Amino acid sequence: MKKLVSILLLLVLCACCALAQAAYPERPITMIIPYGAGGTTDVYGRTLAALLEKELGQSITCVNQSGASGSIGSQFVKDSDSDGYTLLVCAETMGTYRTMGVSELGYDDFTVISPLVGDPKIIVVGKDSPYNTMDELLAAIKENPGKLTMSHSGPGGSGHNQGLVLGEFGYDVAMISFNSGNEALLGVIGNQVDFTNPNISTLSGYIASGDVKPLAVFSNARLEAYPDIPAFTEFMPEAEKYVNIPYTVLSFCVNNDTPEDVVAALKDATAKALASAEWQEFVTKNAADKIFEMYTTAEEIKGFYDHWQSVVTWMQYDAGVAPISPEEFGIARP
Amino acid sequence: MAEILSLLNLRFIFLVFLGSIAGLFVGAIPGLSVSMATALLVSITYTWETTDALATIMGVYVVGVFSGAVSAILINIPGAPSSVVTTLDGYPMAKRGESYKALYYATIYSFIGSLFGLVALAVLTGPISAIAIKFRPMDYFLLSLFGLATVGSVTSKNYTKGLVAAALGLLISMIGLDPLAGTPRLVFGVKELRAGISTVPALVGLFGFAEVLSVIYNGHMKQTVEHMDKTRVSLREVLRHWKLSVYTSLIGMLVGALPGAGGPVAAFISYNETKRLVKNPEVPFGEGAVEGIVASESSNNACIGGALIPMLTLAVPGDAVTAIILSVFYVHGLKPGPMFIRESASSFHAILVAGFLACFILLVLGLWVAPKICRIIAVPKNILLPVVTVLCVVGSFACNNRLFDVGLMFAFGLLGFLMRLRGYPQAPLVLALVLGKTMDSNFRRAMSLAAVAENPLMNLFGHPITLILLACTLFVVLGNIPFIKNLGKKKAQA
Repeated sequence: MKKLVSILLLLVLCACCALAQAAYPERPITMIIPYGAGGTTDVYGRTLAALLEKELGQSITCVNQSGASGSIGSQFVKDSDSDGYTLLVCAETMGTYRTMGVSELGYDDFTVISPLVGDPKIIVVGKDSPYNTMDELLAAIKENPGKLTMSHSGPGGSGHNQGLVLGEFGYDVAMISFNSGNEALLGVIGNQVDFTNPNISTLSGYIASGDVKPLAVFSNARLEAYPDIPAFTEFMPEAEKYVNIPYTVLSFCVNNDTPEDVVAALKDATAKALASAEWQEFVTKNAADKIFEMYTTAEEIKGFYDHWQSVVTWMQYDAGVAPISPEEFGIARP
Repeated sequence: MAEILSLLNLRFIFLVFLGSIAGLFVGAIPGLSVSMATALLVSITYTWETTDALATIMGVYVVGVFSGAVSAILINIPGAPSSVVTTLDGYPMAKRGESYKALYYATIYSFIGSLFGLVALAVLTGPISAIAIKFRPMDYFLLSLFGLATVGSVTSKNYTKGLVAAALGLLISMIGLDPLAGTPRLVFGVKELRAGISTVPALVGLFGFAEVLSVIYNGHMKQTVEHMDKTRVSLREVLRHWKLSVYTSLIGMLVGALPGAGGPVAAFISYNETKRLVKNPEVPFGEGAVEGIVASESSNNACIGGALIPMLTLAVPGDAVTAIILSVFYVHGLKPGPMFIRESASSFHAILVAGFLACFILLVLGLWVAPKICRIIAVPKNILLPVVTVLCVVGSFACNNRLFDVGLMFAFGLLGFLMRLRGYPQAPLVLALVLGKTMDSNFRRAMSLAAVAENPLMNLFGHPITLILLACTLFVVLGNIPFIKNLGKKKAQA
């Protein structure tokens, strides 16, 4: 009996060795989504996972591990084996954890397989608001410094950052933090706040219903889907260097010490998944920025995240939002 | 109409039924929660047709909220925060051998509550979302405070102990990242604490594991309920409380429609109202009054329809489950929001039809399964409790896939046990934990809005809804001060 068991165990061991040499991926994969079910990260993560399954030929289980601005789930991935079987889809907060004092993680701790999408932001006021154009709103902010209220999605988030950009140019607004971009928008619709800057994915229904007046796209170009909404730089050309980056960025990453062949296999499969008709249709339907098409090579991707991190962390530090200087983490001023 | 009939095919009905069965188990097993089941369903139903996915999820939702009452009544462990109130009168009834009667009431009034909420969803989405949008940060704060003030008065003979428990809950809810500034609070360098304390491990520990510890401490391991009353209560007798049910359903539906508060607040407010309205119950409240079950189950089930209203029309989930249903919509490319009911009428109808179907399945399951499930109370504690302990561990781990939460569960179990020993109610602590973050962020939001207003006081309180809520809160708090209570009594005597 004992002998039989030993032989069996030996066989299993051999099988393991054989498996270890097989090409990636040879067993099911886990994708950690560090936010709750239903958010933008979750929706895009799950869509990507379904398409990647087809390319990789292995099932991918999405696990939501939310908390602390996404740093709990990200830490879980960081602590997992760097074998490509634990993937991460993260949001832009990854770039600001360290300076905000939330976590020791940053984009440097991961290898970005590909940036995914950006969700464009639109400055809106309620339908009964006295302001009808961006010019009128900007003039009102100048006249009453610190008196106009702007709701945003949460501390250090994309909405908050845009308020800081206004501050950089001497437009001082009272920023009111809400739990989500959608709640910030409802504050405007409920006439409690003067203006806000939601993502287009949350906003589109309210533009159609006429509950809000869209004043400007917070970018240097108009959106294809909404050609009538002017770009922010049409009113404030000097803001170019702040609005030429997307503020809401989703990224698909693995641990930074993952073997090169695994990273290459993932990059290859991801490129195919992102080029698929399903993905393209999904992204177009949500009017998202296709940043996965803008930065494809490893240098471009690194360049993009380095630039993003430097612009945003320094702006937050200068405004007193982030308590820790970006300098401590070797992030140069933009 | 033709569209609604076309939904009623066998496949659709089967899926609702399947969901309902899942809901029954998930809700009744302590530690497993409806939100966990729906989250699991999101990944399973990812490739399904939207209507199929909605059918299953509505089944889980409606029946799951009801079946939280089963474990609350039978073993004093609520399946979800919204069933906490059901334990107050349900468990004493079960201990008296009236578990069958208690479950019968819970079934009938969960059915009525769910139906009420869904009818509101069918016909009142417009006006109710208009009310929800009028709620300001200050109003959300006051509503939560009102809920907390009530809970102290309903769960303990000693109001002070209720308030102490609530204060402790608020303090614990402050752990984690500050919702407005993003800085970690009260985490003492423990990384895992940055995510804050989730409700599931706290609830499971405070009620589930604490119950296990209490039984061991009291040495009641072999104790079983010997006599079990199986006489049927006539339907006419049960339905005597329909007026109370409609009133508490209305409360449940309205509170459910306000994001952030949800089932537990609705149940507590309803219970408090019931105590106020029903002066002479046959059995005193807290010792097994059926009115308590009527209030709790009507209101927490009416919350379902209520919570779906802001989710569909404003994309704001009313509770944890609707937050996950919201993701089903997004995954299927649907956009809840002001245009949803007009643009995606078919999905809206699917939700309604599935919801109504689930109500009737609830009735059948409740009446048919409940008497069978009652036997669990006859299982000796030395067999039942190890099972409960395992479920507590599984449930707390599964809520966020973290071992840390299991540790938290044990810690809360110990805390709950000590609180019981000293006569502090656990319910206020749970409710405060659920509401703490909402209260904190809304109060500070209200302050920062008022700070830049021309007239800060007017900005804070100059709105009808705010004034009503403020009056309600003051009424409850002042009414519980012994001095004022005695004043009222003296007058009544004189």
